Order: sequence, then C-alpha cells, then structure tokens
Amino acid sequence: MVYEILSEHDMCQYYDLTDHPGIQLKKGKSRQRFAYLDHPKIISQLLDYQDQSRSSITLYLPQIHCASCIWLIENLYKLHPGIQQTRVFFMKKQVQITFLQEQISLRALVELLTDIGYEPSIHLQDGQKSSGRHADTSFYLKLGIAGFCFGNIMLFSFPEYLGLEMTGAGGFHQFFSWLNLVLALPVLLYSAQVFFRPAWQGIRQRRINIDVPVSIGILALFIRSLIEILSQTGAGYMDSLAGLVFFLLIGKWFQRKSYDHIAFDKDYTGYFPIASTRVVEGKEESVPVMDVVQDDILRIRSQELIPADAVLVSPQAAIDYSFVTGEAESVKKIAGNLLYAGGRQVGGAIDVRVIKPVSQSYLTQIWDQTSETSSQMDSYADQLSKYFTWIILFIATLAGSYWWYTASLPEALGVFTAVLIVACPCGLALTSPIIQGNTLRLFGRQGFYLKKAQILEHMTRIKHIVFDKTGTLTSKQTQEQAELPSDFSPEEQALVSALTSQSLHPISKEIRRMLGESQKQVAHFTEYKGEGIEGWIEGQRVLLGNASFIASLQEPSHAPLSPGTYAFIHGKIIGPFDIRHDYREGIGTLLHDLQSQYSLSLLSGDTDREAKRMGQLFPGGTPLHFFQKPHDKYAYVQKLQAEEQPVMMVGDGLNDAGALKEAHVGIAVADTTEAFSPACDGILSGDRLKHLTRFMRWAAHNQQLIRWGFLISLIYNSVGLTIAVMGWLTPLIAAILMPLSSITVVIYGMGSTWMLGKRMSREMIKVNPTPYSHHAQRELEPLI
Amino acid sequence: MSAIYILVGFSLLIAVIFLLAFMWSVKNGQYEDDYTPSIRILFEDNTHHYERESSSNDSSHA
Repeated sequence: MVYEILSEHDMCQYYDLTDHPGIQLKKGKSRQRFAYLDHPKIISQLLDYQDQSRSSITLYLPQIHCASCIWLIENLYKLHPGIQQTRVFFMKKQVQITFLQEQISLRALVELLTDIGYEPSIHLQDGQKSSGRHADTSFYLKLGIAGFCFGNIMLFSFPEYLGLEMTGAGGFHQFFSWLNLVLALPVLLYSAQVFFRPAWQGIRQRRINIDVPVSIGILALFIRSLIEILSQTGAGYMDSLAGLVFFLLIGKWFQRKSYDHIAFDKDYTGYFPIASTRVVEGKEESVPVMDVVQDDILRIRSQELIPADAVLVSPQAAIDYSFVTGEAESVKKIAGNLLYAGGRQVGGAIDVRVIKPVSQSYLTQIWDQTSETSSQMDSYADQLSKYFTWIILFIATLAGSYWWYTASLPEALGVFTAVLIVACPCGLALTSPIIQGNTLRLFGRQGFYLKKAQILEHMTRIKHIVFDKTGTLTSKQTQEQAELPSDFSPEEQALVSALTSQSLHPISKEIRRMLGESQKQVAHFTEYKGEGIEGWIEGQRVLLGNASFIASLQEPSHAPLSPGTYAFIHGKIIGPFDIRHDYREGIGTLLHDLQSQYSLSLLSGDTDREAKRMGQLFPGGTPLHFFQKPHDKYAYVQKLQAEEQPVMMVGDGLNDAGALKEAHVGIAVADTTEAFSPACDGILSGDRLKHLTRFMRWAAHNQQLIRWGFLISLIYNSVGLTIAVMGWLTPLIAAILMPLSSITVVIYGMGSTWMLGKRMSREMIKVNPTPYSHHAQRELEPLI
Repeated sequence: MSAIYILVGFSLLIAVIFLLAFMWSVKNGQYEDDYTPSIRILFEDNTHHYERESSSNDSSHA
C-alpha cells in the first residue's frame, strides 16, 4: 500500500536511497482510534501555532530510523496539497508539519502518516510544551558571548603579556584596560549567571556546593580587576575571568548534552490515551480524557485503557492490570464490579460508567502521593567543595594578615584576592562534568539511558538493589520457546494457531506466538468465557481450553487431566501447553553476580504462585515479597533507606512509580525507549538488564577517574596557591596557569573516558559473541 | 599611533557582527538539530516548493 501511494506521486526514488527502507506496517488497527483528533479542544492543545489558514504541529514519530525516512517525510507535500512543509528533527525523532487546515484536517494528516508507516505517538503531555528549548537557547548564547569576550580580551591583553610599556603614549594601556572592562561586563552579568544562581540557592539552603567557590573566585577576579583598572594601578585579570567562565561553561555543556528525545519525568497524562469514546444516547462520540465526568458511559474497545475509575456495565470483562499492579494474569470482572483506571481491556468492547474523573482516580493518586518526596544527595564534588571553600578562605585570611603585618594593607588585600582567584576550583568544577557527561553517552550507546550525569555517582553508593518481577525480570517479548507438547504435528499446530488468532486472551496470544501465524479460515468461532474457545477449521472441530473444559469432551474412561491448557482435535487431546512468563535472558547469572556486592530483594505485586521459581532464581536468603501494593513497595524502599542502605530500584510498571522515585537510583526497564515508563532516573533497555553488574562496575570506574581528575586539579591549585601567598601573582601568570589547568583536565577527561569506552565495547563483545544465545534456556531447565 | 583607536574600533565592530550572526543562528534554531541537515543536503534537489515555503514559515514558530 505504501508503494502504491508513493508510485502514484512519482516518489519511487525512496526505495533506491537505502537497501532496507521502511518498517513493517501495523495491520488491522481500527481507524476509529484517531477520531479524537477531530475534537477542536484537543486540536488546539496539540498545535504549536495556528492562524486563519495555516496550522503547525510538532509530532513525535518513533519509527524514524534512516535517511530515507527523512527524505520521505520531508516530501510529504507531494502526497497531499494541503501539506505545506515538513521538517524532520532526526535525533529527537520529531517532525514539524505546517499544513492548511481547510485542505487537510489534523486527523487526515495523522492518518496519512500512519498509512506510510510513521504513526505519531500522541499524548496529552505533548500539548503542554516544555520550556526546555528556551533554556537551551539561552545557554548557547551564554557560551557564545563568553567565548567572544574571552577571545577579544586576550587580544587586548597582548601588550600586557609582552610587557610592552605604552603608558607614555597617551595611555593605550589604559584604553585597552577600559575595553577589557567593558567586554568583561556581559560575561559577569550574563554568562556567569549559570554559576551565581545555584551558588546563591545553595547558600540560602545553608549548603555549599561546587558553585560557591567558583562564584567567589569569579567575583574576586572582577572586583580586584575593577579596582586595578579604576585606580590605574594595573591591567586587571579580565582575560582570566572570561577564560574561566568560558571553560566552565564548556564543562556544563558536556554535562547538559543528554537525551532530549527520552522523557524521564512522565506523569499519568503520558500514560493515558488522549481521548476516550463516550456513548451518548446510543451514539459514540470522542471526548478528551480530561473532560470525562462522573456518570459518563465510556466504550472501551479491546486493548484500550480504562482512563478513569468506573463501574462495569457490560456483563463481563477481562482486565489486564499488569502495568498497574504487577499481576501477570488478567482479572475477570462482571457487571457492577469496580474497575480501576489504568487497566487494559483484553476481551471485546465493554461499556463502563465513570464514577470519578481522571484527575481523582486511584492511579493518579498513587502518582501524586509519591511524587512529593525525592531523595537529595550531595555529589562528590559538592562534598569536597564544602571543605575546599573553608580552607581557601582560611588560607586567604592567614596570608592576608601576614602581609598586613609585614607589609602594607594594599599588598595584603592583593594577596588575599590573589589566593581567592587562584584557588577558584575550575579544574575541580570541570572534571566531573566532562567525565560524567562522556560516560553518560557511553552508557547510552550500550542501551542504558540516564537522566542526568550525576546519577552515575549515585550508582556507586548503592548497597541494596530491589527488583520488581512482572515486566522487569519477566518479559512478554522474549522469543524463547516454551515447551510444546510432544506428539503435535505441524498440521495440528496450524489448526490451533488459526483458532487462537480469533481470541485476545493472553494465553491464546502466547500459544499463537509459540506456534507461528496460520492463514487458515476459522468458522463458527465460539468463546466460552473462562473455559476455552471452539471453532471449525477446514471442516474439523478444534477446541482449546483449560483442563476441566477439555476433559468434559472426552470419554469418561480416561484419567483426569493435570491442570493446564489443552487442545482437542478430532477426538485427540494435545497438551498440556506449558505457559509461563519467561524470564529475561541471563537473569540468574546477573542475580548471582550482584549478590557478592549488594543485598537484593524482590517486590512483586503478583501472587506467590511463582515463589518457588523465584526462590531458585535469587540467591539463598534473598527477601522475596509478594502481593505488594504500590504503597508497600514505596514503604519498603523508604525503610531500607532509613537504615542507611542506599537503594537502587529496578522496576517498570506504575506500581513501581513510588518506589522508583523514593529510591536513590530508580531504573525503569523498558523494551523500547518510546514505550511508557514511570518517572525515573534512568531507562535500561530490557535486553541489557543482564549487564547490570557491568554497568555498576563501569560507574565505579568512572568515579575513580573523577578522583584522579580532582587530584590533578588540586595539584594545580596548590602550585597557584603557593605563588599567590608569596605575592608573585601577576595577570600573566594567572592567564597562563588557569587555562593550562583547565585544558589539562579537559584532555585528561576526554582521554580517560575514551579508554573507558574502549573497555566497555571490548567487554560487551566478549560476553556477546552471538546476538542470541540459548543460555537462558539452560539456566531455567533445572527450575522446572 | 592614533590609528590604533580606529583599527581597534573596526576589529571590534567586525567581531560584534559575527557575534550577532551567532546569536541569530542560535535563536533561529540551527543548534537544535545538527544531524538532519547533513543528510538533507544529499537529496536530489527537486524540492523548489519546499525552499519557497520554508522562508515564509520561519516566522510562524518564532
């Protein structure tokens, strides 16, 4: 179909661009799901800009993956005259589209994108545009201005560096000093805000962070230079000032570069659909989720989420709460039962009557209740700067009073400020941003995305790791085959597979995945709720169901069946199918590796039916807790941390949201980065969970590198301090010493992290000789 | 030697022009995506329509 659309518009060139363009289309989803895009309120929330004829919208297209995608999407205007311009932001996987709303509606536009294989992922949060872009712009401006002033001030300081005496000739000397002063003002007043603000905040909270000594240094530099220039006693240190700010901003820039396209702070609006279907007087209409009120009747189709707490109106429903509570099996509900928001309907369409609006539902409350507290941790650099600041002030005062005693007050003040200037911990402030920033990117390359570089440091202090079960240790997407019954011919497999294709029950889906797709037609399909399914395929009656259902079909002379799922074809019983949630590859090894360094726990919202297997999977003595409510998990983590055991929580679902926030490090496991995950400090891709031990080791290594960097900058500082205390500091020495220490630290930081990156890929190649191994299967065998 | 005043003035002026150009490029969003343009330039150039529209649209999301 894509080819047809493209060839119609003479765009076959698309297929020549790369060898494997395009991704598979998702079939069979109803177009009705975009109905909400006709709703004016939703449209206005999503659009960036709108005037009489034109609208502009930014959409997130997770499928963008290659150069052909850019080409195809940027040529969208050829497919529809109403589209004026499309612009792709590849790294963010975003596209900005300008279109004429009279010729193409937003809904038609989204459907067109879906047809060519780029289905936008639209959530309410998209409507609330973040201010991140603005902050970024102003940061680049600060960096640019600091760089500009730094270069020019250096240029005008050359006479000073070369020791040219020009005071006689009408005071060029003074002229250049004044120019430097003017050029330094924007650096101080605009660029250096990045350091003053956190420093001031820290002081107000009675905490000394790394920005405090940096700000003291910057201010000392400026005041000393200002006095020298105004009193015409010297050239000042404006070059050092601008250089310092410029280098430090580069350090911050390293730290800032992170993952724009991954949102870590999602709230419940990101999880819910943007709109729901309301039934009014027998007619369906689309309504924004936020506008759903009490007593509305909503129609929830198969695989849709229940957006608000509601009472079931339809006779029966099967709700999958695995993401909300961690229960793996879907829950049966009958008319009149209460359905909590966040569940996913897995059977046919149901009608529900809303009892609470979205913002007051049980799920939203879990979120609000837990999102208030967040753990604060001082970084290593901040802890160090606490002592550093006091020591420097002490040395400065000591040296100042000595010079006051032996020489004069002006000289004493000179030494005092010189100490503050030289001691400005630029190396210290640069080391961790550069090393952590680079390591953050290296982690990202290995499938571990951290929200902030500082998380690396927190990881090294973890003592206790808490795991969630459903979705974290288990995966619904593992391709590992569960055992098929013996005596099961390919013919029969095709029949059973065809039958399961009619049912949405999780077990049917699991069996179909094991058997593969079948094209056979099914007639007279019947579903016996809670028992099994029946259908006629190629003239044969095929049944699939639980033990008692299948047993009732056969001759009473047979022995009773053991519990499980069986198929019944032509009087022959096949089974049982061994259905279980597969563990991710390498989990057993991972847990045993982690055990040597960390205490472990398991918190599962599920029932304890897998307790035995869990006990075998986890090392002996590991606390295993089942039936955990979201609040229990939160309280458990809180209790551990009160006992001075920094916790890393590894989870995935909404039931872990509180625990993830409370833990020092909350890691969400997700199979794709665009999949929804609760607010967390990092997102670990599911197939990389087995490498967690390695990531922890690398984080520790990263911390080691930072310590060495601190040592280097402290050596520079003590050399500078000696010079300052002796009263030898001149603008020239300052201009050499400060950039030199910064550059050394930058080179060290880049070099050491480059080596770390080499080491990472080497270790990864060693453990992953083939992309897929049967290791996990072997590991699980003794457990069954 | 008084020529230096004029020369310094000119050099600063030129530097400031470049600074303004940089500020314009930041505000224009040229640093938001540094990957896509490198690919876009390689496409066959039958997109005159696009060129024309892009200039009129920059103001729309400023």
